[in-house]
Amino acid sequence: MKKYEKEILVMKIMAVRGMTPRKFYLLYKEFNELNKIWNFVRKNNQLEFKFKNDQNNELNIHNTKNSFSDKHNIDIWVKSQIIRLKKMSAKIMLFDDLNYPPLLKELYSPPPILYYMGDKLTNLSQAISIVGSRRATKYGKSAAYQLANKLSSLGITIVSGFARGIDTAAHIGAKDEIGGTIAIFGNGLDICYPKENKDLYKELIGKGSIVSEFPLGTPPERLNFPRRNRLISGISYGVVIVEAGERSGALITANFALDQGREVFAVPGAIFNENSIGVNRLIQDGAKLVTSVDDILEEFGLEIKNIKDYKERKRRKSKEEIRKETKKETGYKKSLNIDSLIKNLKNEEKKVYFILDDFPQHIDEIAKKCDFNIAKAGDILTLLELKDIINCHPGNRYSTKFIKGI
Amino acid sequence: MLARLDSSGIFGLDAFKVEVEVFLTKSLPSFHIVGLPDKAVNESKERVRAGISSSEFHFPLERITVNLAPADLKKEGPAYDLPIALCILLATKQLNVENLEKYMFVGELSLNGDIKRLKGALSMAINCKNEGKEYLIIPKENAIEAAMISEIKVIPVENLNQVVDFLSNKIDIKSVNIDRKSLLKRIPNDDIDFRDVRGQFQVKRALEIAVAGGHNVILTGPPGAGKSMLARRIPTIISEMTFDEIMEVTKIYSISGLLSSNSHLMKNRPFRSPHHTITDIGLIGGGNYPKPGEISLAHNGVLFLDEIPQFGRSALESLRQPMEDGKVIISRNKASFTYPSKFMLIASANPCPCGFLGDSFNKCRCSHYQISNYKKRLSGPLLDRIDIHVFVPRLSKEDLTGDSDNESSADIRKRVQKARAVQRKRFLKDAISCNAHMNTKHISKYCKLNEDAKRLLEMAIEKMGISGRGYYRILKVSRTIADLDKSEDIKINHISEAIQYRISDKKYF
Repeated sequence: MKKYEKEILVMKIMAVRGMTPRKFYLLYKEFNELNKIWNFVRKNNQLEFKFKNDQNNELNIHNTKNSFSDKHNIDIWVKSQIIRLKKMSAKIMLFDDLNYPPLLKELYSPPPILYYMGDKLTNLSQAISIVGSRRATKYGKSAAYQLANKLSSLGITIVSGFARGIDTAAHIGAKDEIGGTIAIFGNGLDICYPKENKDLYKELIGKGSIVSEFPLGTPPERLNFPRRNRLISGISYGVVIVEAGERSGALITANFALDQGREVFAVPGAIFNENSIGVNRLIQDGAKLVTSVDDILEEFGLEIKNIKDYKERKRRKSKEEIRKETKKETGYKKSLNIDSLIKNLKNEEKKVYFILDDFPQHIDEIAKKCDFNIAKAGDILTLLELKDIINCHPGNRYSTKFIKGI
Repeated sequence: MLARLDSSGIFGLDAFKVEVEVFLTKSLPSFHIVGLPDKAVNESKERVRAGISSSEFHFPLERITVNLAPADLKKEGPAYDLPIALCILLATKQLNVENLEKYMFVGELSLNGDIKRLKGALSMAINCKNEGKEYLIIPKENAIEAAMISEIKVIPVENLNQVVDFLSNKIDIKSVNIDRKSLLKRIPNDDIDFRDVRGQFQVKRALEIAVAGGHNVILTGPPGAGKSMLARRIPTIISEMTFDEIMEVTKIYSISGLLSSNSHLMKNRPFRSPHHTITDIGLIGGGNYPKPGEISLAHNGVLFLDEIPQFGRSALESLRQPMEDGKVIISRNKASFTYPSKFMLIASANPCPCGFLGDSFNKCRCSHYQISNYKKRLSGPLLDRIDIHVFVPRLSKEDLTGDSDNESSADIRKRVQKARAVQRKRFLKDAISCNAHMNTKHISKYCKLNEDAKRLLEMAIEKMGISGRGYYRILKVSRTIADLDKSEDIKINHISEAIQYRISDKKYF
């Protein structure tokens, strides 16, 4: 076989309009050889093809009216894809590759071709996905960050969708630790969507992996995202939903996970918050409630290998003690760092700090409650903000931080 | 037969001498005006004809040519009605007077011979003085305004007959004398006061700082929060205008025809709030027959752009240069003139298209892209000239219904005036008058920081992503805060308060 001949064939087949992984495997079952599949597919138009052993499986393939209507164009397209992939140092992984993620292989119709950059995809040992709302609150982002950070430090790779909000917080939490992170795109690898994540995009190429089912140049269209979500849940042991509104895309990912037999976890949210409706409902429907990494690790105790710390400690201590310890480290309470900072505050700064809590308050209210004039209140709040222990919300409202730095 | 009298015409904000000449020849009756008259001046013919006849004089059946010199400057407005009529009377010997060189005549004639008020009387009076004239014959309603120029004798007139009688020495009209002091006395306006606004302590503080240092402000907040209400009360905390400032503003308003018949002077600082459909010409001035724009009408006062993202792009762009220079230069074929436009800009905006971003109660329904596109409408260069941003929240129910122990405008104004005095002293040898106008040289001279303050500012720059321009803005604002605090040095608490009012991407404006 010529170099990349196999990859080229798969790329061409998958490029046909209407082609899906499921149809690909049906064709593969029927023809057994990629060459034959390609020859069949490109000749036939609007074909109803009934398979011998299956009951009434219709294969509806339309030859595209645009770029791939004749042989020349698709060859040119494939050639340019290969060149561009090489330029970006991006790689291709096919369904029969030795390194193909094992969990993904278990799926009903795993993606026949994956485009990726970075080396996490090939070194994938165990993964857990963290997804959530795009309109995330500071609470949700803190939770996602912290969970991702801790899990990654234990060697677990965090998979997420690179979307704004929870996904980004999870990637950031995980990228600098051992497990690293994998971002699954709903568009071509050459497109950075959302644009604000440009820096993260560059980092992930070095510190993790970026993976996509879609060829280069595919724009982030709505229809691509369910396919991407399927990948997010399929590649990992389970999915943690951190914040999800009533109709969040994260819930779709949760559904895929259930279909695929993966675990579904959910971090609960404040009952008054719109962003918690989906997540709290999941818990009511049976998803496991997560307050720390421990709740996640428990479920996989025996299946997750190479978690040295965890296993060691588990051997030596009782479950209770481990629970206490990991809770302290995961920091669902305010971290120790913040406590020591608070001790060092001046009296008037303390006065202001203790007026604050999770719910944002406007500076006028704070000034009134502390009985300071507005100039002084503004001065102190800026100082506290610079010390990184309070959050400033739009509208000049302030609340305490959950974790220093987030 | 030839007759000649002097009058005055408006060019830009000032007036220039116009020589009115009338030439009669025995020919087929006709009436022509030359000297680049506009339509109103051309229509003088009808008013003069009727005015003369109504006053029981005889309108000559001859060829009448009127020349308004200089011939190459455009003449506009009905001010020439009176001198033209008088010239005709002189030329037909219905008025027999000599030595009218010391007089200047302006006035509009109505069809029955009455003399009606004019625009730009103050400028004309100044011109009259500059031309070395002794008397200004001017409509009665404009007399007090013109009488501000004490070097000339202002003769108020009501109709054509009266003028003729006065010139023929048949009657005497006393020149107008005014009591400058009582005229300039400012009547305290109890109508609006900062006390009317409940709560909103941070906003009031921000506005106090803004006025004290001359800083431009942008107010953001949900609809109904009170941004317009607060903006309208800003003139009440600005110090009173000096005599020169009053003269400047009165000139502009007189020329624009905006002086009401009761007030002959603009004693209060102007507050202009143009609708966002305004064009660039409407905003900065100009047009075929150039007129002052809103920014000149806001000279020495406040220009309030409510809902600034709704304003046309080109209108906002046109603001940049005048804001930088404090004046706007209008060029026409033969000349260019300037309208002054030193104003304080107050802008207001919703924080996002739906208006509820940052609201404690209502949820913002905008997508991320909607918000960033909305922010983009305010161009960088315009935002650069705004030093202070403050969020105006919706009032809580406690604020709305509770007792307010609010400060009055008078109290705030006292503090502002003290801070302004400090600045006047500081900038005695510099060409500027307030902290907001400092350039980088001034800033490095007058805004030195001690170690603590410097360290805080550096931390803020790093953590909050403050740009170079933002850094200078914070220094200027903290200088004003220090002035209000009667402190010669800028201390750490002045800096940290100034940081509250910064403009940044992350803080939604």
